[in-house]
Amino acid sequence: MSESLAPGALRPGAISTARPSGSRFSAHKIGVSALVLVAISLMLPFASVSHSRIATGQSLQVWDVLDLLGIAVLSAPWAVVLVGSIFRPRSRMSSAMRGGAAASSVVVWMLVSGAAAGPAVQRVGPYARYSLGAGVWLAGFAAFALIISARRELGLGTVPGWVVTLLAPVGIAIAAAMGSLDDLGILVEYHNLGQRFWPSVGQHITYSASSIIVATILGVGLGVVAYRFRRASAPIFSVVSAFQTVPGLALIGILVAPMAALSYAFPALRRIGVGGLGWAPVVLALTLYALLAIVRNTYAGLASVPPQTVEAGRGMGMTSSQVVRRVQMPLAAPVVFSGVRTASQQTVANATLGAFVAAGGLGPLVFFGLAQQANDLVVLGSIALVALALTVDGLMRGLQYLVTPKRIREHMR
Amino acid sequence: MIRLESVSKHYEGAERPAVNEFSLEVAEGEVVVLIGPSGCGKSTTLRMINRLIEPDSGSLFLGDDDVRTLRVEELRRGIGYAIQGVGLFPHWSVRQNIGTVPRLLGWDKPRIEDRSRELLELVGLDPERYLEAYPDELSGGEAQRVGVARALAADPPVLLMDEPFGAVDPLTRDRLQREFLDIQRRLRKTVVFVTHDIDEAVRLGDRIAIMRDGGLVQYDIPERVLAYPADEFVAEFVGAERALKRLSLAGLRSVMRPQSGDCGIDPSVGVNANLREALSRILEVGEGALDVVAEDGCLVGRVSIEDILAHFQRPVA
Ligand SMILES: Nc1ncnc2c1ncn2[C@@H]1O[C@H](COP(=O)(O)OP(=O)(O)OP(=O)(O)O)[C@@H](O)[C@H]1O
Ligand SMILES: [Mg+2]
Repeated sequence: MSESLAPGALRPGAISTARPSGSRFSAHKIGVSALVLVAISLMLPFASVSHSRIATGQSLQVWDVLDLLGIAVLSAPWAVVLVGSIFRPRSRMSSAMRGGAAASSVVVWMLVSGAAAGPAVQRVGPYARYSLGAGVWLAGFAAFALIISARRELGLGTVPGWVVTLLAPVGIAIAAAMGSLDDLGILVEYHNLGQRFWPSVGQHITYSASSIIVATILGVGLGVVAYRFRRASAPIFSVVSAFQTVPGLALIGILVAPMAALSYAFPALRRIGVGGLGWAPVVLALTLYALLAIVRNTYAGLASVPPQTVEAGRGMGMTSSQVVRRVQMPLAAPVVFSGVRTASQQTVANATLGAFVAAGGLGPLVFFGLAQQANDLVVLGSIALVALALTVDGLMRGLQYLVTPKRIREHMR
Repeated sequence: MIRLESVSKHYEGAERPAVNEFSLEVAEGEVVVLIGPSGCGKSTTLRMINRLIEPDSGSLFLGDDDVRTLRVEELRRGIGYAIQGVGLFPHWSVRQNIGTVPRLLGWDKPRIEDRSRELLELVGLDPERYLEAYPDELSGGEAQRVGVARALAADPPVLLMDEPFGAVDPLTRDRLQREFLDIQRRLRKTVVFVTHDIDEAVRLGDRIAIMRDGGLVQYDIPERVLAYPADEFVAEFVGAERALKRLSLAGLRSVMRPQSGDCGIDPSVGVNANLREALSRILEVGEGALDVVAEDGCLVGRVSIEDILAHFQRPVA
């Protein structure tokens, strides 16, 4: 909730608040930290190559895999980050340099790995796999932190902000589409999945989206009821909180039997796919799970409207529903929506549990990967999940911005 | 116009009633000021008139109608309400805030727009500058004016004002009060006005209702409240300076002895001054009497300390 109430998150054009005060000469802290991480990452394994998909791999250092030119190419974007971190680090130019270089480094490191993978695999054998090593992930994390900070410094709604944000994902997508990354283990898994990957993503989105939509309608409704009728609030909160105390997997498990019974009792339900297994228990569980954040934020948002403002509305002759619709909901909207955003994050993550009731989605990729110790498959599923979560977060922030009344929005600047 | 008949309200859990057997009649076109110490039930009384609070017993009438017989939203849309602490809607512009009740009444847009401009001018704010401003861009005094404009928006015959000039500095308050009197002279609303401030009550009220512990202690015109406080409590409440306050209610014109003569006299006092100002001037000059001049600076009369004393000793009707 503390996060949800931090209006700074919405500020377009905001400057990072973690600005060091005092000394005039100050390098960009995140930039320097990222550079330290990258220096460490060059010491860590750059890749691992194994004989087959599930065999234990042999770690390779960066100098085992690349020649000097390759290492120079890896370092180039980080040299730009270095310059952007110490030379007038507060200027927009430097922010753009850091963000742009960090984003390019992600693409460059992938391309270099992609190029190195082919020869490395050929040396080992026909079923050999090339997996990205810890060093690459660490550098990727450093780049991610820089991109996040740069996009905030540049402004979330601005063109440079968008460029910095989208450069890495778009670059990787293009590289992958052109086949430059085909020798990486992740891409091999992707191609092996063939027709199954994108439908899994689609299912995941469908389950998450329908749960969030239903939970939003239900949760906002329940939040309003809990606020308007004090007597209803205790029971409503205890019920929606109760769902949270049940572990997600158990909740889905609990729902299997009743859903199965329902589908037996009503064949019509069975025809639309409601049953003990499949989408029904997952969507239901995700919806119940998402309720708490939404109900709680709706309630808190309504309660945060000053009593005089509410009394003014009533005193002018608004009906109670007019007071809610015209005064309380608009003023509560930012808080309500950050509840929806929190719930969406949870939902995208929890939807993986659909794997256990044969509902599909991205869950099976991750869990089967884990079961078979096929690390690249796990990574592929995880990357898809992270990408999905980030996209959802971005969309939700956009929506939150749109539902916030203009004036309240400007308050947040 | 407004009549309260032994109205009582006891909040749940409170040890004594907030308002107790309270009766009051407000005549059409009059300003009645409710005054009393904090917590004596002023706001509660006001809110019972527009049914934001329902009384436990007693009746309230608006005109000839018992307020309970009216649909509560209709009742409130017909009563202007300026709230303690302003209560402007922060997500709405000044135009939208002022248009609140007209929108509820279904007025069309151009009419609301015209009305908002007219009201901003009435309360002394430039429409071009303020119409599209938001509450957080307004100073305390400007916000209070907008609060008053909003209360007047649908031209209700009755206004309830709960410390509408509460949160401003003395100078701004003085100006707002002057404007209020000016507006009231033109519009002749029936107003129930709540304040803590006896000077404000004396200045604005046609009648003053002094409350204590939820009951009515005295209800009279300002001069009489000052001249004949009903009891020790009222005397203390109106303050040790009540004689001076009384002087400030009387104009010089009715007390001075008319004369005519030269122009450009000094020392002198303006004919529009009140007795308090005249007395202060006399004391300042130190002569016991002073020439009175009109706006053009020409002599119109003379006033002495004895004249003022004589005025003071006459009973208040
Ligand atoms: N909603 C409420 N619930 C319970 N008690 C209340 C409520 N509103 C007011 N009271 C109590 O009733 C009494 C009268 O309150 P009221 O607001 O009418 O006072 P007031 O004269 O307007 O005071 P002030 O000058 O401070 O505004 C106070 O003791 C107050 O604490
Ligand atoms: Mg009050």
